[in-house]
Amino acid sequence: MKKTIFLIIILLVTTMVYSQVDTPFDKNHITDKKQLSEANKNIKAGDKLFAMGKGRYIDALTFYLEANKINPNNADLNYKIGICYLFTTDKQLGLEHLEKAKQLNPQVNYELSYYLGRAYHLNHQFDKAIEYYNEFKRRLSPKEFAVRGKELDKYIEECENGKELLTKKTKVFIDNLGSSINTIYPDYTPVISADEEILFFTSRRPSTTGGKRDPIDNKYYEDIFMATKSGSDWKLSQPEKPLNSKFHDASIGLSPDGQTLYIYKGDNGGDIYECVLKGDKWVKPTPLPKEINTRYHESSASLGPDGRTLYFISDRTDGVGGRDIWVAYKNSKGKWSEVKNIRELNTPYDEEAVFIHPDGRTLYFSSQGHNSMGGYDIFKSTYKDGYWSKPENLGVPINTADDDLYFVLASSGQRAYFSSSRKGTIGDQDIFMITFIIDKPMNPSTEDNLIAYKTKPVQEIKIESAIAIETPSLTLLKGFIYDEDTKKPLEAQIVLTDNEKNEELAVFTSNAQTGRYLVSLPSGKNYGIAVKKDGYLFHSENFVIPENAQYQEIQKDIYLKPIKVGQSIVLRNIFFDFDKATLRPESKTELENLIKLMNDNPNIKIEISGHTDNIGSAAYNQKLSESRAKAVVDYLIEHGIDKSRLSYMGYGFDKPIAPNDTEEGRQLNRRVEFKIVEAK
Amino acid sequence: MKRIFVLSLILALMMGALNAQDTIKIRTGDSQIAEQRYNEGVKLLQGGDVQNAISKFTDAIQLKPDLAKAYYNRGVAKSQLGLYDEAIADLDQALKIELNALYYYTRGKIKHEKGDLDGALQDYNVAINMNKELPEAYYYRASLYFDKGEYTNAIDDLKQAISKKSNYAYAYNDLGSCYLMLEDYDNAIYYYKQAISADPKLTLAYNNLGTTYRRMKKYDEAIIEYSKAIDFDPNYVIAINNRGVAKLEKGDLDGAVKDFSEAIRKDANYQYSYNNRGIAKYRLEDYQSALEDFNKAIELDNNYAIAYMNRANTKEMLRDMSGACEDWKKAADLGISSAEMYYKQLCNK
Repeated sequence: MKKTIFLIIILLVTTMVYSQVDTPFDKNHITDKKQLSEANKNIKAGDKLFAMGKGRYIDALTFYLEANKINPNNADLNYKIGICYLFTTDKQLGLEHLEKAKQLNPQVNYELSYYLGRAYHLNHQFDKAIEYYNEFKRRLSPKEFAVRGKELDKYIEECENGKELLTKKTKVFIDNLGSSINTIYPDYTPVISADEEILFFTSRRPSTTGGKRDPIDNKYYEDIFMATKSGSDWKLSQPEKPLNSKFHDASIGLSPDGQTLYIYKGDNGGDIYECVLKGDKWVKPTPLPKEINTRYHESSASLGPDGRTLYFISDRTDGVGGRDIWVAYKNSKGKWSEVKNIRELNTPYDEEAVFIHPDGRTLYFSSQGHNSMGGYDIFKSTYKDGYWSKPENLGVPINTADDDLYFVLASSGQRAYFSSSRKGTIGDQDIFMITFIIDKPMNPSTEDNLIAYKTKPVQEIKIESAIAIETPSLTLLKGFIYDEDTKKPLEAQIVLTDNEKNEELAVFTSNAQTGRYLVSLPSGKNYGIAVKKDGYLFHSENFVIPENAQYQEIQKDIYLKPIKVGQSIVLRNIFFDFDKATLRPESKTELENLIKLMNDNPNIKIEISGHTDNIGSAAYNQKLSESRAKAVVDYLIEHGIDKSRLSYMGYGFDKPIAPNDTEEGRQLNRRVEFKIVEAK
Repeated sequence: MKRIFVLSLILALMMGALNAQDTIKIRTGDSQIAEQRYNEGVKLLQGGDVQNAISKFTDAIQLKPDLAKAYYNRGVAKSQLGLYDEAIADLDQALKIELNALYYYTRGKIKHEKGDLDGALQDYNVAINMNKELPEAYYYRASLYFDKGEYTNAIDDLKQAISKKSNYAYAYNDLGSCYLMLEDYDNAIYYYKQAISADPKLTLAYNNLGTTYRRMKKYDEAIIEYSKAIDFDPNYVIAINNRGVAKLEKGDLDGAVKDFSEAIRKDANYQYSYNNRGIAKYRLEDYQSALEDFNKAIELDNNYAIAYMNRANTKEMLRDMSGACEDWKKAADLGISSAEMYYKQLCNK
């Protein structure tokens, strides 16, 4: 609880410290009598000057600021300081002091919201300015509104213009011409030769001819100064008579060749004089004729490049309103005659500071009308096909919400000169140089992936597909042929027979050195293979290879048996009908081999034996095997073999050569053999 | 027939018998072995083992020199290794054995990759004349036309490609690009959208669509499409940069800076984004920072003409006229005619 109270107290104290209070200049608030006295003295002096009008605000400011040092929290003092600052180059300080005045006492003065509007306006904060102008408008009585309403509406319109202009700034450098030209005193109305080598301007500085001040505003009388370009700087001179006099002499125009200077003098309500340079001497200025100079105010003149066209400012009555732009033409006799108001360029407000570019068709001038953002703004218009184009505001930062005047452009178009009291002056008005930056496009870089495959290549080269290899329905039978006894390799004949057709297909020979042989047996046949060599029993093999058989390789080494008693071979290519002893035709080749063997070896006697697997009874198998053996013998006898050389036996399944528990084994056991039983 | 077979067999075997080492040799086995080797090569190539695939194809060719497919696939494999001349030689051989549209197309593709564009075009032409159903041949021929600036021809070919292969997203995209180059933006949009419809993940199509909108100054639509591309591929620096430019042109300078910075984060050597960020900063009147970006862009590519131009403009704003003149001169030397004009107008004084 105590902690909470403590915090609240701290908060209140802090608020009190930082929320300022309108502090009067009295002994209750300023206890130091000396300071109080001094402050009040300064305020009084300031007030006296302040009351004289805006021409003396700068002087009043000096006194007010002294008083402000003693007490910065007086609303009224801040209010007046703020107003004074608005008439100096430091508009920001003007805004700050007016805001402070409002903070100290929102009711400090009836005009506060008006001046806040002005302050925001001059500081280019246009929305806030419009807010305060409207606030002030609402406070006005109908009578007051009748008087001031138009002014306020004009300011609001200028703020709207300003908002628009801020969105498109002109690209320029604005540089103070420096202390060779400018001073703490007013320096303005620059006029320049087309080649920028000669500059004339007006200044109200102490060295003015005669050294006197104008009693109206207490500023030194105007004098004309001349500067010539010296490298990157200027060499200044102050012409004497006839250009300058003890009173006001202002340069307001210069011919493109720099030989004719137009001067303003206050005579006759304000007139334009022409001064010509003869050699290095200026001739006495002569007033322009009455067609140009009237009893009204003429100021600012600019001679066209043809020397026959003069643009000038006058507030004579038959214009559009106030000061207007006029043009005069010199006739063939050299007389200024035809004078016209350029109505399309003029407004009900004032135009001033006219300048025709050496191109002869681009006119620059200042105007409080058109789409000015405040005070005078600088405009340009181009003459084409008999008409002047709609004036174009030169925009920010050339123009401000304050007065912007006396714009002259070099013939190159790259630089211009004008006077201004904006921030950056050495004091009061100064002459500035504008360097125009050619608007150069800045080029961004982009790229795209317009062609897809280049970004994301795809493998669009097809690979040829695999080949369906044609398995060569083939059986490779290969191996070696040896002598059964010696195991030596033998060169022997391998006779390949198609058993079904009883057709000899091919005869191969094994390698004499190695005994190697290889026989290719395409599928779909019943092959009989007989391996023969003289002196040996032939070796018989049978291969039935179905049509759809896979490729296979069979390794088969063959041992040939020499012909001698006791040797036997299996006749693999003897076939019988199922369960019968009828010889099948496929047996023919084998039987012929047997016949040949018997004929080639007349001294041998053989036994043909039949064998079975163990399927069926012993008696059955014995009978079958015997019948089959007899069938072979009968065939041999029928084909010329002496029956005395032949015998037959049926052994049934008594002499298996392979296990009967597999079909393969049983097949091997189902056989016919022959054995040599005698050899003489 | 049988007699011929037998006699052939005998003859073959007798020929073999002359060899004392191996009297009997069945020659038909080589063909199958060749095919086996070939098939092994195919499998290796499909699996990406290119070197070994080449070995297998070589074996197959040695065993069966008329196996066109082996030459073809070996050529394909070699092209994958960048051995273009060898690849083309293999394709030449394959074509000697078998005239085949696919082989012409493939040889054309390899020549295309090698950079022999005339050769590629010739082969594509032959392939297409032989077989009008090769969409890829039309596609790649179209790309050659595109590179030559013959957009109408490219369009014809791409439309053919699409007629043969529906949902050919790449072809749709490239059609969009042809129309983009012809400034026919409506058609460009149409075809890019077709590409996206065919392949919703084709990020470059979104980018290209974005660029089309940007050229039409439809910046909001452009930004949407670029964003889609970036959503699919957050490292798609080109699209990020392009989106930045859309924002720049729209006037969203802060948004543009953000995108260019993002592109630079993804690719610190992407000089375009440095240049473009420099422009955004220039427009924000932060000239010193803009200068740093242009410096970097030029450091990455010291022939970056536009960056020299932009840097010159920036130096001018920093009141460094001698530096600006130097850069305008450089930009002019690199071919920018407006730089030449600025140099003449503003320098040499």
